[in-house]
Amino acid sequence: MQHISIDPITRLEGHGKIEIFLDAQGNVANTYFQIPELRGFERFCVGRPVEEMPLLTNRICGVCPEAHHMAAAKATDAVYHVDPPRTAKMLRELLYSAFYCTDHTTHFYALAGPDFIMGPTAPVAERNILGVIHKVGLEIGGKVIQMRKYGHNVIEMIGGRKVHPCTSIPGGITKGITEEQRKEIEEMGHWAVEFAQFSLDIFNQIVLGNKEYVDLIVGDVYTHHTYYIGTVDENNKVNFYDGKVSVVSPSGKRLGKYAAAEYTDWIAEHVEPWTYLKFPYLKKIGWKGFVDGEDSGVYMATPLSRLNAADGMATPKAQAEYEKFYSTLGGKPVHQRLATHWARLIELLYAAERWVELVTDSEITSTNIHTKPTEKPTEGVGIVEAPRGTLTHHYWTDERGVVTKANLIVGTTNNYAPIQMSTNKAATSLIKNGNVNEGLLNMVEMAFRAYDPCFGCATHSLPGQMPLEITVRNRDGEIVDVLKQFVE
Amino acid sequence: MLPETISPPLSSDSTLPSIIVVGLGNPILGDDGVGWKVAEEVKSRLEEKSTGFPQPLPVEVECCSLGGLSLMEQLIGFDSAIIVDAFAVDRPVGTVFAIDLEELPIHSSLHAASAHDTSLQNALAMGRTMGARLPKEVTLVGVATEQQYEFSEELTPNVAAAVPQAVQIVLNLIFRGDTK
Repeated sequence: MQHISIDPITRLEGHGKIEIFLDAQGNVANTYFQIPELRGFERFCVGRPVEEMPLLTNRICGVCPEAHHMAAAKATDAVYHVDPPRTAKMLRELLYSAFYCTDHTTHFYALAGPDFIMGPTAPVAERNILGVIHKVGLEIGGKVIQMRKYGHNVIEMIGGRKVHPCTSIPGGITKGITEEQRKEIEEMGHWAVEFAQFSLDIFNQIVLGNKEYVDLIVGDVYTHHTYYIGTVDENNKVNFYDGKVSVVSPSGKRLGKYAAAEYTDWIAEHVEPWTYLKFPYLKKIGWKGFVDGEDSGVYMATPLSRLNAADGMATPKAQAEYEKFYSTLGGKPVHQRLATHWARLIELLYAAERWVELVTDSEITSTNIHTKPTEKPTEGVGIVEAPRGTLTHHYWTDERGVVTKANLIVGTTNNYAPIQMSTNKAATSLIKNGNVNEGLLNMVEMAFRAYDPCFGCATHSLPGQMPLEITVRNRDGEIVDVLKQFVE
Repeated sequence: MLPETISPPLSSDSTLPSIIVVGLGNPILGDDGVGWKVAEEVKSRLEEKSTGFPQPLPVEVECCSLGGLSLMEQLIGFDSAIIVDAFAVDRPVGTVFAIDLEELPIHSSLHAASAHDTSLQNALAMGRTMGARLPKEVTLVGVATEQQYEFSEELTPNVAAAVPQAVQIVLNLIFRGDTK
């Protein structure tokens, strides 16, 4: 049996590794997507005051600290049984909308864009954000940087710091915004809406206008029929900050909705011997293995799942794009994983519109931003939608509010089983008779890149060694070939 | 029209210090936080009056957990940058070294090194293409560590022992620039 190992070692999020085993004919026998586990976080939290958790957990990860800050803030609200004032909730959501705009922008232009704008089989040297700028024009680079700057400005104004916000506390937030800041944030929000529309126009022209790409998106290689989850508001519209988590089946039927505190009734975890990370699945359906279908408890939590799990978008321009998305792709739910990139851009537009909506609310500059906790702290769960999927924080404390136990289900963990299934399917479809080349490997990588996986949060150690190395071994474990990408 | 208080993204404020020292890493992931410890120590040494460093110094010290585009954005407006980070390399743990970013064998100068962003080299190239004022020289001060998978605020003894040497290298780079 041959053995191929794809090792995309990365700086920010630890590293994942794909092991592909070939049979005697050189076809894929099985694929394992391995993620190293960061150990000891629960132990690290125990003994600390729970109000430190929004500051501490946003250090877990350098990619989405804002998401951890918000989930932790909501969990600490719950621990103290306190409901923040409306303005505090709106300010948190406003910060979060600005964060979504920066995060989704980076993903599309630095990651998904290169695959589609340059083409999935373009040389690696061209398949990056610089290639995109050279092909589409300098204007794009300037807009991407502008979008990120505006997002960071809002995060800093409300969150107190540019990247790692520090203003959410149990019962609300420590600082509000002035009328002057409000106007500034509104102007930036209008710009963000235009930018999101510009991004969707690019997607329309370059991706949807190219039959080859459309065929790739709707093709079977990147398709799985699973359950989908995502947070919705009281009208069942997508919401990133608050609401209930909606669960829909592969045929689009809503199984139910759960509140944060009910998550253990819905989600359970499966253990495999070859990886430290557990595979969450829907408890009510049960674990049936890495398989598609109504009887399999495998679910996905991504931008695409959020659209599938909701009845629509809460803002008008995003709703129009939502309708176009489903009419183009043949109705709900959409199972093609590469459509996640399109869904992400629709979410970008929603986040920008929501940003404007919140900042133009008459109560946004109110100084009523904190409800003082008066009850004894006990236990609480906070859920937000991280860009990569539903993020759940659960804390237990003693009566002084000191953490005795913590449990986190992070965005990517939800998607571990579907990522495993997608890489296996792509590898099986694309690697035939031992034929492995750079283009095919990128097509396999594209299968997991759509999920935007965040493996273990911030391991920052440079230099990151090799982005991609494939070792082919015979059944005795001897190396028969080594394929490398950007490895000297 | 955007309000005047929002500066164009690529402009720089001429009053900004010309050197930035960035401590990079995750301060709650054991040895991965060594960059922060070094940067914090550099900052406190620079602020000590008894050291006799000329004041005010044209140096800004930051600690962050960023890469790619976000890290590049932090460097806009500076003439040179010194980035202190943990390196998972095949050298004895605690070894300290300084290299130019261009020499970094990251193999990702034209590849997305992060699954969520692009490499620093790529981000710098993009920023320069866009006309941003970015450091001509980016030096990395590395401390060899093992990959970290355990949460802790403490450094392991060999890495902790390397901090004074790394601090001295950064100070030498700031004042003499001849430490490599």
